[in-house]
Amino acid sequence: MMRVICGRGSLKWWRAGTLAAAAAVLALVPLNMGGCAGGGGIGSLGSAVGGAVGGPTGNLISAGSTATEAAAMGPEQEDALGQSVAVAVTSTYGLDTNSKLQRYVTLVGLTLANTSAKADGNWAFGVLASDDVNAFAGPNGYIMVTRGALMQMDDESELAGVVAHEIGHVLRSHGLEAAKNSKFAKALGQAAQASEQLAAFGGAVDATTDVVMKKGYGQPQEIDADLVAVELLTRAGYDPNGYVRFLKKMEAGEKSRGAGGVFSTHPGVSVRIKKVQDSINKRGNPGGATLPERFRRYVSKGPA
Amino acid sequence: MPFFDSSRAGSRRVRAALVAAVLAGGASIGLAQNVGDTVYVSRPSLMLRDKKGASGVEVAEVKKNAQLKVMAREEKWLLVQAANGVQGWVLETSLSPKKVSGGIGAFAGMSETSGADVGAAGKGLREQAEQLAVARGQNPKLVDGMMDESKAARAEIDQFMRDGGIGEHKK
Repeated sequence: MMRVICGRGSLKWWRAGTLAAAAAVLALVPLNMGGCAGGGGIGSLGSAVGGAVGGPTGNLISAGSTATEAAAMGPEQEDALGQSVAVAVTSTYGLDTNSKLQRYVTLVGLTLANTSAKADGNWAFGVLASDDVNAFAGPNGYIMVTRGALMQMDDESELAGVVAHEIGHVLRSHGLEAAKNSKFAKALGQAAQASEQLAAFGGAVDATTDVVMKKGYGQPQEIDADLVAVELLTRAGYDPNGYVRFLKKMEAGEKSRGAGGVFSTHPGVSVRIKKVQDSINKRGNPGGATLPERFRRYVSKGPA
Repeated sequence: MPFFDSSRAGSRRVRAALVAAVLAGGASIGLAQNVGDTVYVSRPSLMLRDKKGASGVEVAEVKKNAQLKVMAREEKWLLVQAANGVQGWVLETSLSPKKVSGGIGAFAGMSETSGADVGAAGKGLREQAEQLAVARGQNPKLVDGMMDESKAARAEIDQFMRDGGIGEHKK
């Protein structure tokens, strides 16, 4: 069974989100909240994101800056949050035991991260031992791609696209938003006792992990990460069309599954494909490296 | 279903465990130690640091149930002295007023073995992340491995980019 990368059930997230969460996302990418919550705000959303693309490209891949920066969480705690989310994900799926594959994905990730404003960040990458097609980003730079996702890819540019998308979530602080907008952020700032601190921290980790692993981000955040991905790919010299090819495979899988299930609320991949393609075209479709031979050296699709 | 079924339920579980720890009186979490008290290490291993905070340099390692004396307190950090006279800062949550008789028992489902693994493997994680993993019986070894892998890979990144004609060597 093929699962779509990121954002599963993201409209549920919108419906369940607090007013504070909505305000934070509105600050991140201005859009018509009502339209989005109703699932019909694609037009207004598109123009809002398109406006962001038209601005200085550097803004797209700088670290996130939102209305919730005042929330009580310092850099070390943010890093601890990312680590705890990563612990939750790896505890669920495990890591693939192929050390060469782990190194390969890490090198692709570092190549992309090096082009960002957080080149010296605490980036860590891993391949999850799961046949699901998915990828996850823990706050502050903990990126994980499933083996199942790798099996859907045909070259390094597709892998780079998926990793760049996850890096985009980190750079735009989407995961941190989930934590900072949870009720536990305030508790973290107020807790005097270590026991209260740990409980509040655990709550923030749960809230973030819930979004990262289960609920998914909102559609504007997914598209935001997509656009950051295009910029990172272009800067790194990867062909961003590889990411489009991967998204199209996800779209084909989505169609083959039909309606219903967790995908019934998933924002259309076709919308994301269009946004990504538009962004590539605006850059003059620069092309770049695809590296299918190197990809095949590390990713074996044959029988184990 | 993973170890947490929802953020709310997960937090309830942690809070319940913490409350249970305090009520039980035998676990480390939530018990304030005072200057002059004798305390014991409640984790498989514990690093003493030259200053409070996760950025403090590790000066010594003490094992579970090692006896320590509290010399000073600053908020949640304690300056402790080991039996050999070495002093260092630790988080109060790593200590217990009496010897621990098997894991951090207040947290349901956590075994002595998993605690030992966590303590040995989670050294690269931030203190709070490590503590949470310990409390939940999770193994941070894999994330530790990811972090180590990333550090190691940086030595190869230039050749990798050169071979692919990407990054700083893009064509």
